[in-house]
Amino acid sequence: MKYENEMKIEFSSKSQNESFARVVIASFVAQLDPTLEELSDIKTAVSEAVTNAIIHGYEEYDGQVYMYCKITDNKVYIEIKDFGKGIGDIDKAREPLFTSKPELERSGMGFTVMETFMDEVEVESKVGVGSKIIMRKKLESLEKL
Amino acid sequence: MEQFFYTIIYWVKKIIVKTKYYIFLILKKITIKKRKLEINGEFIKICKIFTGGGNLVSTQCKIVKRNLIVNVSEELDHHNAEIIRDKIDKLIIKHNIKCVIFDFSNTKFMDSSGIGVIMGRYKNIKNMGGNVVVTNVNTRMDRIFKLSGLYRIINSYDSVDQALKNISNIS
Repeated sequence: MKYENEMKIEFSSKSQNESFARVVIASFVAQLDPTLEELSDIKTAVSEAVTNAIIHGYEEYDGQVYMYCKITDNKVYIEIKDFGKGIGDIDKAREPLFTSKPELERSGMGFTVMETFMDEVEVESKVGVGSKIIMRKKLESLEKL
Repeated sequence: MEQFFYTIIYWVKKIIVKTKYYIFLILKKITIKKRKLEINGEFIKICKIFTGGGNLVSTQCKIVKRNLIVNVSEELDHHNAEIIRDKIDKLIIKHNIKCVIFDFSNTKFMDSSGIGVIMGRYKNIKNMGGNVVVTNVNTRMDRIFKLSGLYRIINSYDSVDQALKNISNIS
């Protein structure tokens, strides 16, 4: 019997909510009893995606950030969506160390961190419409059960 | 005659102001010396940078000689990074800091914003002949630092004491 659960939240694009988003995803994924490392991986990736939506998507003006998470057995599927600026050149944005905001001291490592800590990262974006980051992770610790 | 009178008052006032200022300076020197004596001959100044968030440990800074030790709070994300980077920059200028030591012993979470803070401070202080080091880096942070190539320009030490020893050897 497949185990399934899902949740959806939206919050305003304030940097204070980065911490909130991490807590939400961690408490939702916790029901799968992941290892601390798997949980930290997911928290870090979500933190990067949410931060990107806030600083790049909305460029710190007001907007809503949407987080959706679906659990299927030991697989975690996360979507982080915004209706902000959109990404012009997605390949360039995903390049390690590339940042369109060096003045904000951004390291350009956001996508690299997401790709390192999650199994798959997809980016859908349209300039002037918004962006959607899709991340998937399989919790290996539960494979053996 | 009146002109002469006003001139005298002007100079008397000026002398009084200058004397007060010099007394203030002298007193200040005495106070600083007292602090130096109180804390084993080392001038240590402690200040907290509150990043808010209820029960989160705030970032604390300590100054030992010309080194600024930043005890980073539990979480270092974009929100906290923005707050502490300005405060650190101000401290660097105010106290003529030569080396910034980031101590991550209390840090439980860090994303790529942490790299931005460290790199930003490095760029600023390098122009003034200074340096940045990191200490007490846990396994996850180590992974993120390696990913970003931070270790190519910044050294990592196991403890603040070790960092201080190595810094004094280099300089």
